[in-house]
Amino acid sequence: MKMICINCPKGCELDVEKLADGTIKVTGHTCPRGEAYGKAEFENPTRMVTGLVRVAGMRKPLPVKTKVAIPKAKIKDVLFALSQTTVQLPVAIGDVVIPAVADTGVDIVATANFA
Amino acid sequence: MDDVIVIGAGVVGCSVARSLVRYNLNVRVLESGSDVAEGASKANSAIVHAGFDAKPGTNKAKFNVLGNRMFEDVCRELRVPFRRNGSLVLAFGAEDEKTLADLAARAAQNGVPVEIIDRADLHEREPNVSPEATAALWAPTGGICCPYELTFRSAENAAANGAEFTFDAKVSSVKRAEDGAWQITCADGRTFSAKAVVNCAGVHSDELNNLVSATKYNIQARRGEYLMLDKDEDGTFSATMFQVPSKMGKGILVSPTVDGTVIVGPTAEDIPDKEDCATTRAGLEKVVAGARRTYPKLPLGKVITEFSGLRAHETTVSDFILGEAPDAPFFFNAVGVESPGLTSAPAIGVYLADAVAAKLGASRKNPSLISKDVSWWPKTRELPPEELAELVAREPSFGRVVCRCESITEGEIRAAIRARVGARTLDGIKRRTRSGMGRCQGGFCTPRLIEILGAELGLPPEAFLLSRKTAPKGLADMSKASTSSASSDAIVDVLVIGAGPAGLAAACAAKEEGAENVLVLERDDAPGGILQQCIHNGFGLHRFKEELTGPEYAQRYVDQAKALGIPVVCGTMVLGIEKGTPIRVTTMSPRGGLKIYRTKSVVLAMGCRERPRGALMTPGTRPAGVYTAGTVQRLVNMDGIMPGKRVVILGSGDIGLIMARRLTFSGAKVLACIEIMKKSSGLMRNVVQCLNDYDIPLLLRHTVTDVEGVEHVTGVKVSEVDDDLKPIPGTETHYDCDTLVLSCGLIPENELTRKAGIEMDPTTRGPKVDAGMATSVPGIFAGGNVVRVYDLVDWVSRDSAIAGKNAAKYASSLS
Repeated sequence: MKMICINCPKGCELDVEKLADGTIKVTGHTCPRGEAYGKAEFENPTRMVTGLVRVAGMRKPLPVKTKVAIPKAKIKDVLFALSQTTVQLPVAIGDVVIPAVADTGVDIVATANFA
Repeated sequence: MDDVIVIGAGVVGCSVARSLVRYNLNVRVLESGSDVAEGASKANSAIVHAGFDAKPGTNKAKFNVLGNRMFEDVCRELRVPFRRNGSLVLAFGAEDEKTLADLAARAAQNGVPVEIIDRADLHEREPNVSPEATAALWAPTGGICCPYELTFRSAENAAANGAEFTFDAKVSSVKRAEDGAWQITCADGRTFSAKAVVNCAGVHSDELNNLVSATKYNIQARRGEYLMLDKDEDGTFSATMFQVPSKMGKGILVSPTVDGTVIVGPTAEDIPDKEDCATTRAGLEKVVAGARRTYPKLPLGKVITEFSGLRAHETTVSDFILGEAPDAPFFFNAVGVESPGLTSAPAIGVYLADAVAAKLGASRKNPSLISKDVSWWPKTRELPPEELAELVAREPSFGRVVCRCESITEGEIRAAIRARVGARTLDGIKRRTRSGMGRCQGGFCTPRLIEILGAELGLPPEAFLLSRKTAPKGLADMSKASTSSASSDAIVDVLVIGAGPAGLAAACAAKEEGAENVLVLERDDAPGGILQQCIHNGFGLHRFKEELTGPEYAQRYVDQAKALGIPVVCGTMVLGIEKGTPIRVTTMSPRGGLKIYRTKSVVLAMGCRERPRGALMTPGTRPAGVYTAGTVQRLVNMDGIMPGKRVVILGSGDIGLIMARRLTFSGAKVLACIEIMKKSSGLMRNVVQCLNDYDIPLLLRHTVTDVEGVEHVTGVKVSEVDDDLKPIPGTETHYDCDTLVLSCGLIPENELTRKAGIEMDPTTRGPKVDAGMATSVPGIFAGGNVVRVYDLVDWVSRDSAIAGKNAAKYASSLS
């Protein structure tokens, strides 16, 4: 399977295949992160999700992210959870906005300080 | 009942109204649009013609010459910029030179001073003119002015003397009532009556006349397309450069404008639709080809916008038709006022007002009772420093810059809204203040303008389509980090302009290098720069060895600057940099007013801006709903506003790709991303995770060939292009969309850099710098996107830190 690594701006072209012994072989990567990405993307593609949530009493939304990457298939559910959330001020970078979002076990955290 | 109703609030209608209020008459102006100057007055060459061209004996010749002579006085009274820069008509060879002689003879008959100058003289006066030009006709009385400013100041002065302006009043019928008065009915049912009517309805003036008179006229809308070039510091041409005229008009001209830009155009094309102000690919190509005859080096990279206007060409007499209709007493015409209409407007105003007043037997007002008020407000960019300081002390909003490209302040924008015939729309503000008319064409200021408009007019957000209730605050504790301010008395070691990642990295590096007095100035209300709106992840892998979002990355530097005790002064705009030892940096802020900092060194870190639509020369109409990707990013991520539901993205720059995903996340349907080149100009990782992940098609080797919609975008046409990037006929597809997002690259912000006299690099369009990030001016360094546009913020911080370090070394070498 051919894919482009999204870890950094280099965008290495990876070739990922499953060998007869069940191990996954990645070629085309130029760093260890690329190899890890290739394996993950092959078996269980994941993405960081960044988004916005409403802030009580303000038009300006709060930027948030998943603390780590979540399964790609869960993106829609995560976005829906964000759309259903309103936070109260103050909020600081790293504060948990939604714990274990959409059954992923991953927290949504604030990425800006709003007072 | 009014005494007089003027129909049409273009430059002619407003000039007539302004002259009419000098009599004891009640005057009303009815306008079909929502503002003054919505027709030909907003889109023309902005030339005050000398008058050598019009056929002797015609109204065009008579009023051109009369009007031209009035311009100094009128523009002084109305406080409108005007300059007699003179006009040159270029000949290219013997045939053309014969035409010059004919024109000179015509000029003599019209009473216009001209002189034929030879090749040597021409090239001495205008070194940038084509070497092919063999001679020219010089008309010293030709000039340039600002047509919308002339129109709205005329309206203000008319209103100050009692004229009433009624907008959105499209006249559908004009009838004689039983009492002899004119009864006017508008399309929305409103009725007005008046003893006399003055028809100044531009392209529709024939229709109004034909309602009441047996003498029928026919207006043919003749479209002219133009290009506008960015501010021209080099003064490419001093005079207005014409070519020998043709049957269809005066040909393609190249002229400086009173605002310092360069206007190029127009074409002349008869079109059936009297409202069709779209630009076309063919038209713009004609403008470029025509202009290159005069100006072979025409720099297309400097195009900031293109537009078209409609001339009201009357086909039966081909002249201005001025005065009372022979079979409709008390109905006065200004029909067929095309070029030289702007020049003639003041004279037509006086002529028609005198005729109307004589007919009605109206007496002149006592001159002492006539108000000279034109609702003038100070243009802060033109004020001397002391006056500016005084103004800002009295009215702090004149210290808050909203439009960066043109340095327009909030105070000016509020004044434009509060004027008698005040701005009600973004376009109204733009024409009255120039806000949004500069290089970025509103990319940065649009979100601020809709906020001010809403607040001033007390309208709900829905009224503006795009609006917001709460003013965006900066990331809150960032502002707290930036309260202390350096004394203007102490000499600063390193003064950094801009508190984005480049500026903060430079400041931190300077401090670490041992500079004691480091100061950062920021025009926004909070530090962080553009990263505040880049809420996606992917920043900092190199610098911090972890993946951060934009606001998190910015906060790292804000915290670092705070830990090092570096003051960041926000809400402060740098107006100018004066080289020397020390270097003097003039600034303005709403609270502090005008302040001059003395500093040993400076680091420029103002970042970059997006290429606007004009730079892409996309033909079509100019409806609302076309935004640059960065503007959309600001609206969605910081102001909580969704600009539309069905989106097409033109260009595949990184911000466009990022916004394709963001808009999808926020509920919009992104129909396609269109890229003219063979590959995306953005990073592959963004193509994968922003387009491919969400099945958004990337159409390579395609471009937008037409933008549709009058008020708002309703669709775009997209075509494949060939190897020369020209659209291939027959490949056109149509997308129904309400939003077009442009993502066509960034250019360094360079106003301050240029003003400081720093040598520029024509490739990057930023300052030339050496390996130590030093510019050509001693003590001035530069870092980040102000130098060249980077892909990665990590490299911005790295290179900018070099600038900061060397600025500190330079400062210490002086002590």
